[in-house]
Amino acid sequence: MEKEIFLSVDGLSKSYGSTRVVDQVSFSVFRGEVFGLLGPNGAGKTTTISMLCGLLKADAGNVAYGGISISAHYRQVKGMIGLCPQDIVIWEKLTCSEQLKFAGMSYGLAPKEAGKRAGCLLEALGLTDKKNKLAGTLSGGMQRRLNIALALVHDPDLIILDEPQAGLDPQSRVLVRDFIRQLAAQQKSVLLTTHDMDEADRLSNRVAIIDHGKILQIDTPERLKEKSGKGDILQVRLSGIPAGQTDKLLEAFPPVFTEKKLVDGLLLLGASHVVEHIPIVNQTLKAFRIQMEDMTIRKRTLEDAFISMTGRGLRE
Amino acid sequence: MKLIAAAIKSWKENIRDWKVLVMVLFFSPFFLLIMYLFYGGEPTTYHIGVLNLDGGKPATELVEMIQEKKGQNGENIFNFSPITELPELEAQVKEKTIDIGMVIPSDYSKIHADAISKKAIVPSEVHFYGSMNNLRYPVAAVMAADEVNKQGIAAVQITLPALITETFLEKQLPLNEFDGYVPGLLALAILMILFTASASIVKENDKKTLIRLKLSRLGAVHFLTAIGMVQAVIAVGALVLSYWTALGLGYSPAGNFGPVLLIGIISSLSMVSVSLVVASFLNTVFDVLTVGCFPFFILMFFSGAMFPLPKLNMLSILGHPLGLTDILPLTHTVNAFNKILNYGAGFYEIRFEVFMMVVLTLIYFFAGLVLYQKRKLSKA
Repeated sequence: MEKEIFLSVDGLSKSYGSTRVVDQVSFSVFRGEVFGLLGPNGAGKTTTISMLCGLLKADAGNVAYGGISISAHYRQVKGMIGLCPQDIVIWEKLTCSEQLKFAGMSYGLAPKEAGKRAGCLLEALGLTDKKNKLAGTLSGGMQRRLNIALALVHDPDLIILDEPQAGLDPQSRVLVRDFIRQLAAQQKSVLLTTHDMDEADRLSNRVAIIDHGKILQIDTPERLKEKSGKGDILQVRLSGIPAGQTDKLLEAFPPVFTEKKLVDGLLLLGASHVVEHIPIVNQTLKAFRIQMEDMTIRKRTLEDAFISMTGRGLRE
Repeated sequence: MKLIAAAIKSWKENIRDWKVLVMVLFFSPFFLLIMYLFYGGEPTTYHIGVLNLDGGKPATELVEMIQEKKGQNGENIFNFSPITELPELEAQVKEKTIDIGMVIPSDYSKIHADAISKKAIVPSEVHFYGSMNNLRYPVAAVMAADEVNKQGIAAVQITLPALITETFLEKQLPLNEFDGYVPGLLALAILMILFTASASIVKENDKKTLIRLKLSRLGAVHFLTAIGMVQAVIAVGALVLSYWTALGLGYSPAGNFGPVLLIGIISSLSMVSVSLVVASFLNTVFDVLTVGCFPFFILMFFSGAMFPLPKLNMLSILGHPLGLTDILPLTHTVNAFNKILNYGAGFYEIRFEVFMMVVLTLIYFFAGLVLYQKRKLSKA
């Protein structure tokens, strides 16, 4: 069965003065899909999200929800979007229940329906006990869960979650992760931005990597990992590397290693069936009289793909 | 339904943010109490210090006349203090311990006697000491001069070609200084919602919850109308509390509470409109409580709520001259309260003030709405 595109983003651009913050961004999100938008700080994620929600006017491009253009029918589209911003945005002087009910009614839900939705969401996000507590008195983790609930109270078709798991304890992370999966199972589209590559890997059906306002890659996490190199990665912590020998050392490893890096005393070697090549590593290091402190083998992660595409340089 | 939801939300937030609410509700009653303690709710009296350098009978009689001068209800006009040295008299004028210092010269009784016996005289010079910074001095000087003239006229037995009579337009007399402050302080009760109304609007921006409102189907008009409704209730609450406080302190209004309430409701809406303009330029609640004081003081001082201001007329509408201060809705609130409370005006007599307030409320509301949408709700 062919998947139905719900969100369609086409050639979205935005500049501030001479700086192009978002540059010809295009992607689609299917119904029932969790779509990860990954990028370093300042990559243009938040600006893109703001334009998707209609909070910011795009200089060029189009955004359509279920085929309805946001620029032409913003009021109609509003109810289809649920945004959970990165900051905790709650009404501190209202109880959890009150603010969910108010948020629901502000989207035009009847009081009874809004109350019912509030109750369901509080239960789903483990906040039923706190329904009559003022939001300002909740712990940070609870406020973050309430932040998510507020994005969902009007039952939107697309939920945009901007760093939803930042500041959550492990139990809450699991709860939120399961909740996001449930949303996708209910044929809701989820657009997720996060710096947590592991979380993006676990949750996303597809991932877009954005940097300097441009989409670099869109694919499934598995294929993105594959694209960053074949096989697993051997990590070797070294000591006593002779000065000026770094390049020579890397050149000494045979071409079977498709990826060779030495960063801050950590040697990274990527290869298919990397275990079989450990003796070569030992011999090479011995030849250079370099001490090996420890050695680990790990699978390729989304972070490898992310770093290989966006580089190691600090942003902002 | 959205409007009701927004109004309930705003109401709950205001109630739970009780410190600001208490300040708004009790500021004006507190001021009324302070004013009452200052002026005692007693009829106005003027402090006079007299340095009598003449021991003669006419001089002594003049001092007695000053001491016994009565107001319309038989109350003493002057609070008399004898003074023995000129420097002391000057010092007391400077310190405003007395409103006026009067020096009766040493030749007063002699020249008085000469005048009675129809001798040619050079008038004795009774000297008044006062400060133009003291607004009470001119009235005290007129009152004291009146007594000096009375004694002189009686001595030389002449009849002046004109007599002065007075009619006070207030329905109830006597008005004391506390009574004079009540209309302005009732207006102050309404002005105070400038803080809660602005804070209610700005808070959404401060706490970033404005983003949720922007994404919702709650329009700016719904949101701001809901805040306006709640603030109107708070303003009327503050007005009623202040009114009761004034009554409790012995204030006796000439008019009914109905017109006061009508003016209170319209004024509170006008203050919400002004708050909307103010809130459009502010980002945080801290800004409201600091920068927001600027429009607050402009309204407080230039509306005439605290003291009367000279009117600089610029144009005329429906036969009413309008000046620069008439662009402030609170000016018309103060005028209407004065008319109702001092002169017993009813709904009909305050129709011009009501008209002006409604017009100004609409102008400020739409200006505020445009500004707020442009500055806070627009897509950059």
